[in-house]
Amino acid sequence: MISPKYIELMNQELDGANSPEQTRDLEKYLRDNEEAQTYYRELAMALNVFEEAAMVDPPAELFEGIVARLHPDADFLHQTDPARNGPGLWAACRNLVRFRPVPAFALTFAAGIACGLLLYAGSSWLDLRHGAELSGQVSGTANHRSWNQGVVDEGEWHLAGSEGIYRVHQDGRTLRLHLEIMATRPVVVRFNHDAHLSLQHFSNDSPSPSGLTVSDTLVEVNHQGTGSYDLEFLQDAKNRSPIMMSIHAEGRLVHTKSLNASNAEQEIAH
Amino acid sequence: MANTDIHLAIQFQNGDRKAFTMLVARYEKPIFNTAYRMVRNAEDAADITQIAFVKAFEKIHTFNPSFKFFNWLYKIAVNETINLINRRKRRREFEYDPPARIASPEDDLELNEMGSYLHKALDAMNHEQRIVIVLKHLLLLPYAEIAEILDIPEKTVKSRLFSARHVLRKELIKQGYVR
Repeated sequence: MISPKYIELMNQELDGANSPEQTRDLEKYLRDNEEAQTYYRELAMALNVFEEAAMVDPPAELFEGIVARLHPDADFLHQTDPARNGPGLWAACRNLVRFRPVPAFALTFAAGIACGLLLYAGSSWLDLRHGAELSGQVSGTANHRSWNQGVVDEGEWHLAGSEGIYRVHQDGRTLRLHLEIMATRPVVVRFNHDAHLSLQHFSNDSPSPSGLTVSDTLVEVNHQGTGSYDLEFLQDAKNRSPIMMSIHAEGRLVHTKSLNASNAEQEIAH
Repeated sequence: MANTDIHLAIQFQNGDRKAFTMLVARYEKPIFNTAYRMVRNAEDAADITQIAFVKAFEKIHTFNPSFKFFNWLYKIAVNETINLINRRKRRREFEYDPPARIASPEDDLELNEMGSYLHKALDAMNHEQRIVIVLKHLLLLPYAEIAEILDIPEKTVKSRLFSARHVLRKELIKQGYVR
């Protein structure tokens, strides 16, 4: 049973709203209470999922729709000098709307399709995440339907006492994770995954790896100094979950990130 | 004059209609996303966004420039969203009315798994919890501004937010997304 007082402190800690005293109190409580540690980690991961699900783009025609409702004439939007530039594209489009409603609808529809295709093509190459502490470029993920080969997720973190980069490379069902860490204080990097992923290979180029824990659903690296790690996972056809990477320093969860893992079923389907 | 929200709102109050269009361009996406996370239907979210801007346009003379423009605008959008949710609820209470429309795959703008997990988790919350968690974690607003938008004390914001997070955690665990 976790005390409601500490649930409140955990929530406030995640918002950066605790006083130093409250943080110390919470840290002490977490050290002594495994159930609370798990709760805190799960809560942080859940919020990370929320913030990672970046904003969606509104329908392409929404802006024009709002402006059209606000100003039916909409002349001021694209003011042109008829003497110099002729009637202008906007005026020409307006004339289409005014006199030929069917072609104008078709034009809007076609423009919507074209924008959608452009957005789709663009998103295959670059997906900027919203508000995340970790910045990364994501390309070729499962939702973009072009993820068979290559880097599917990469990024970096900069925290007090540790920084690093990670890269997830996919080759069919094989996911290769490369991690480079520079840490002045001991850090624990934990990769939680589901049973549909299995660790096939692990190697490190670290001067003093102080510990490695591997189970069916967890790989945990204890690290200090500068070093790199390579992990290779094999995913079965049912894999649908990402790998959750979490970084812990001094017994505290300091960051989480879900790494994109792809789905072999989708690979076959697409 | 710099194009801050307040300057644009003042310009619009003084008759410059282009200024309001700039505000639409600036806030169309966050307003749409707030509504979309609340009603989980792109068509309804687009309607709410349109209505919110039209109302803001009509009521701009009531905007007090000593407050933040986007808080004022979000307040209008949040009220519209809650009105729509209540209308849906009332409609369902009458037998003769058709059932609420079920979102089709085309309504779901997010094809990724994370988005659909999130929608399921939001479904498990009541609308008071949902709006607070959306304002906090999608728009990244501080407690005080959420309190101002929703017209509730900061303490209530916190308690709704913490219970929303509890539901979020529980649902994502249930779906196997958080372990």
